[in-house]
Amino acid sequence: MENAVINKESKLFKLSNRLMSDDNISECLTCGACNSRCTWFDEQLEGHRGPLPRQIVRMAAMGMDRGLVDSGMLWDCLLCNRCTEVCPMDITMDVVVRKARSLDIADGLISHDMKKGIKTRLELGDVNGLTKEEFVETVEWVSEEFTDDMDDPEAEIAYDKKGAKFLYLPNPRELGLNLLHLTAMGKLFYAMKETWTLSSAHTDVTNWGYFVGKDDIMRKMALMVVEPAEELGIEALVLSECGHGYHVLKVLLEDIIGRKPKFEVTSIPELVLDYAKKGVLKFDPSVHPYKTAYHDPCNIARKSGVYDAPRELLAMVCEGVVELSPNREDALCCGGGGGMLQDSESTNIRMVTGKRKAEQMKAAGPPNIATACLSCHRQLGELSKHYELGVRVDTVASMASEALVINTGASG
Amino acid sequence: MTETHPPGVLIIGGGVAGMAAARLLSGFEAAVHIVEKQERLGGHAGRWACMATDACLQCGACLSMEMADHAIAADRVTLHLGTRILKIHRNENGFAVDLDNGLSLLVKKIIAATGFSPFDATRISSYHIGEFPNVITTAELNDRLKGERSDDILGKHPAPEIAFIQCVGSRNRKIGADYCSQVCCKISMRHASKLLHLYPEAKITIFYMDLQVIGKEVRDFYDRLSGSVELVQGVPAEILADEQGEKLGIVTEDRGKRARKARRFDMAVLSVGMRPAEAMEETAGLLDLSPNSWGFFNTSGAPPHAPDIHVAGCARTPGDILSSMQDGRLVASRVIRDLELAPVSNDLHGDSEKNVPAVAVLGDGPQASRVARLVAADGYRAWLLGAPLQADPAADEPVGLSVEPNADVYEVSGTAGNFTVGYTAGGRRERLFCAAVIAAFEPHHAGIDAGFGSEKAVSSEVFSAMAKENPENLPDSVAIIFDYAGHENKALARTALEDALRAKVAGKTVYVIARKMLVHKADGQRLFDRVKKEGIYFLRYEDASGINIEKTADGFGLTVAEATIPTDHPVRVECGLLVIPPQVMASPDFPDKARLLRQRLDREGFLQSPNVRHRLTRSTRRGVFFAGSGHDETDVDDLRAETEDILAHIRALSVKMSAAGPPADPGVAINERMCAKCLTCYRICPHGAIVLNDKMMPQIDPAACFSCHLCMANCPAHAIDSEAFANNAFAEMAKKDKTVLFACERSAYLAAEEASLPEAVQMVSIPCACRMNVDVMLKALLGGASRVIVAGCHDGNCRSMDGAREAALGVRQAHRIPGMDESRVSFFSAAANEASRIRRILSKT
Ligand code: SF4
Ligand code: SF4
Ligand code: SF4
Ligand code: SF4
Ligand code: SF4
Repeated sequence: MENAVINKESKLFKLSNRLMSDDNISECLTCGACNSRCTWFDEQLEGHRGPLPRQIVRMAAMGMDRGLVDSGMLWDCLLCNRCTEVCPMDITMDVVVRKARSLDIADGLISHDMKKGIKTRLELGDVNGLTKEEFVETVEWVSEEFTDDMDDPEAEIAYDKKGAKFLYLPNPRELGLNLLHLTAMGKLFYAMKETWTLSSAHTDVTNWGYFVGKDDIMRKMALMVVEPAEELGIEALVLSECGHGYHVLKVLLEDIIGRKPKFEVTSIPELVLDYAKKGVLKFDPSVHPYKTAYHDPCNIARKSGVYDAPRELLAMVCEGVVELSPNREDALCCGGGGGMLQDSESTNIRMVTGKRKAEQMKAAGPPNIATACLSCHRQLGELSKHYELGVRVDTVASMASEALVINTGASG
Repeated sequence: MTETHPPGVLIIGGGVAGMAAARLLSGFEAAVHIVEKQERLGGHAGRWACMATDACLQCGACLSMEMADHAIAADRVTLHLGTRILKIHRNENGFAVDLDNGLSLLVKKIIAATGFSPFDATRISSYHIGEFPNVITTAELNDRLKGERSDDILGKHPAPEIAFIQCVGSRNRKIGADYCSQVCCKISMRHASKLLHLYPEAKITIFYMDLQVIGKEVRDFYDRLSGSVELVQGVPAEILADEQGEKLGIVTEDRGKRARKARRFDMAVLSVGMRPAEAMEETAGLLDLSPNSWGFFNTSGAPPHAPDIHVAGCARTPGDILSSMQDGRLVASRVIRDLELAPVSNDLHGDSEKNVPAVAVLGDGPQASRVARLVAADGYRAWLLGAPLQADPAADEPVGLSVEPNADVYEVSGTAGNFTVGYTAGGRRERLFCAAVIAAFEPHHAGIDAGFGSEKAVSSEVFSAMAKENPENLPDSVAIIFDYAGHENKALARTALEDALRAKVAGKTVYVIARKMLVHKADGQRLFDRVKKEGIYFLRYEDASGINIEKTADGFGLTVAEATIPTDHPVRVECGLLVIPPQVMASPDFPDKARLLRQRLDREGFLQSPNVRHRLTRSTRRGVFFAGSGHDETDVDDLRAETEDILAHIRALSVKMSAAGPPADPGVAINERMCAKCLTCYRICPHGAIVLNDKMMPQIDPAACFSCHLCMANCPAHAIDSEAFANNAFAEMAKKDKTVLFACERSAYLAAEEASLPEAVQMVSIPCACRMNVDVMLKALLGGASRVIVAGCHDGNCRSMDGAREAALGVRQAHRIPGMDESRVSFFSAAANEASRIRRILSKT
């Protein structure tokens, strides 16, 4: 047992105690509210006790960098901010934990996959290591298929198209395992009758710099998206369904790059909803003749404040939305946040952190659930399988694409 | 518009603050109007359930019943119930007020006593109030207790597990309520006591942020409660449905395991805080007042932009029932002074010099000096006995203040308006005649010895002097430990935090180490937040054994088992100066002072019993008052408020004493021919109303007598006569074959009036249960009653202190007679607000 000494010179204290602002760890009331809200609930696992959020904040507030790093809590935290939602002092847990993760002394805790992903993303623009040549090859091939599918020579999946209105930033899986998803999104853009493009310079909506809390990496990754997008002169950057990508590029972007980007940022479900409301997009909900539960991704809901748009869209493309309980601000994290899904060794932990989510999915009723984040999507699918729930997991945008009423052929 | 006479005073709101203001004003030449939206008076207090267990827990709610009755009966108070104000016009003569009942009032002054609203707990979705039936608020629990419906949830469980969750809607900057609501800790502690009383097997847990154990009543029941209730620091923000849907789940910290654990409860009670009244904006609009950032009108005097508008009670700031009443009186007192209202009849305030009443302030330190200054400043002739007058650069040179710093008071005899204070000073024996006596003695400050002999930690007073005079000269680091040897004192805690800030500003490293942080008064939370924000380290510990102190070369080294970080990380704090505020304790000479004043001490030995009938500042003797930290946990502001309150009481008193003609006949008198001069009555009269006349015969002073009849029930020579309650009267009072309920006029009678009694019950109002000795119980039975039931106040709630105990004793004595048992003679206690309970008890007869 070693005495902890309050360390005024602590790096972490300086990083996360932003005096004069309102989220200030030293202002913690030690009220304990956060402890009752952790996504881990009472779950534990050999070698993983899970976080005690108050201890995280308090150790940070006393400058106990080493103690906190050694506590095992930093990478157990899902950065879900369930605790933050109830904090009377608005102390933002994902900020505190990410600052702690960013300490040099915590580097050893970063998972192998995370390190590798960051490296390839920085080198190639894609976490999965897709090279520019591979990108071009893949997209051109998908585009041809797409033109055939749409039965319209004008229909294309373009890249690096200057002056396009929208730039779509896909999830890495859409250019690898899940090409169909890219086509599905292409359909939506096509039906909007707007010009859109991909970019070969940056192919990826993710930003793992966020998970490791290193500002310099986050900034580099963000600029890899922003600068080429600005060169293309787009009106809006349309993000694939990705929770942390949305939070970083929509909410944190200005802070990270220190300026406003020269374009709007939105996400595919929000954009689709806009066009549906304008009457441009039409759906046939009978394609999904059932009700669907909606899972709020922490990054999109609690951390970015988007609750209604995905629900509204979902309601248009199936028989109706079923609410999980609790939901919205109180929603349960899928159990895969905070970098867990980015670590192939975390599967058994994720099944523990996701236990309540699985119970909730079961209790909700319909065997269908949709979400607006491909990471949550993956975790929910794995939970359904692991806990034998028989629940089908979808994303809102892909359901929208399926339900799209489209007049194929030129000039609709 | 013409001048109206008498001047009108409008009181908006008929809660306890408004009623208290009306009560004081009713003795003066003013036309008082109470406008109340509801159809009844009493406000929240009027709906509050009695919290008495075996004894009264001193909440004050039952007092609202009597106050309402008084307001209804008072001649110069007009009630406008179920009425709203449409418009208020200010003009050169005051205000024209249009009511929705068609009336228009002309008033000179307005007292806004519009109260508060409980926090709407549905705003915090994660508690699922309304969704989970067994999650309720303290307000709902109160309603169930009051309606005797607590079995709705708890009936099913032989040993229900109940969680109280504190600070719901308070101390929360995010929702714009960064203030402590002051009352919810007390309410939960009382509720917990009450539930344990009703369900002795219940397991109760209170989850708190910082339990606000402040004030003599609270310390008292906290100490009794702490063994039987689980107190857990840390307030859960979410309640989960249990898989079975029966129990509730709450996740808390399991420190030992360094993880979270889910706990199960049958019921969760959310201790909701006080928010501004729902109609706050309407009030603000009508009166053109601007609320503070929380929505309260924290302007107590007449605010400069709204002269002649005063705010009282919880509309001004969150507070409990007794403090709201006090606030109402203070404001009324100011109105009386501002308008120079004349008492209803000639009084001791007469304009001729010799009629100005004298007030003696007894004390031994700075508090007495402050009180005396305030008394003199209010126009009384004040005598400060036993303490020197402290310089006060902020105050004017007092006029009409005499000081005897070395007076040693040995006698306080006589009664209100007519006291004789005997004292010696410099070998002289002096006597002073005065109308009222204020006791403002200093408590004992026990320095805490941290175990290092002469190098012990310094007290907060020493630190305060250093921090104020020359903070730069303080050592580089300062640690302050709160609650180290017992409950922290709120006044010392606040000063220490202010001094800590001074040290911090001077560049020192400061540590505040506390078990529970007292955040009293509306701005207490902001002070605490500021302390943390300025970078003062805040450490929390669980109990004193968790702090190890050692002497180091340049100060002290503390090892603190910090409660909010992992157990294997005790925190090491090095400091050049260790500050431990002293324990504020009863002074060793308080028993003497109590004898001198013929008053009781409280359980901890402080002056003044906690009896709510006399709190906050009165005693059982009319005209004898208490002020300052010798009788309660007060700070400088409280002392000022207490003094103003006492002056308000003295105003009311002088009205009473000077009512035309001799004082009202108390209905009891000593028959000199039969008196055995045993002086039993003199000794036992709880109100000091028996005085010895020139012939050394005991005599009842009508101005001081409360007509409790205790003297009569106890006089061995049967020398005390009563007009209405003579022994023989009891045989006549009893109706044949009825169950006769003798009910105390201030408690059980008021409650029974609201409850429709069974046919078989005949109710007789008695002035105090202490009249009911065994003789009169038997007389009533002889008179034909089939059964005698005596109902008095709860233990500790009797205005004459022991009435209920006396009656219960009489019942026990009766039971010794063959054939007498509970079915013939019995006793129960009840409060004025316990109609449902009385109905239940009597329905069994
Ligand atoms: S952010 Fe989520 S996982 Fe992390 S401590 Fe808070 S509730 Fe727990
Ligand atoms: S909820 Fe916020 S203020 Fe309360 S203990 Fe947690 S971090 Fe501190
Ligand atoms: S008797 Fe009166 S003061 Fe005592 S607990 Fe009951 S209501 Fe409160
Ligand atoms: S600390 Fe203050 S706000 Fe919180 S429950 Fe206690 S009295 Fe109420
Ligand atoms: S009736 Fe009560 S108050 Fe009056 S003299 Fe007798 S004991 Fe004292």
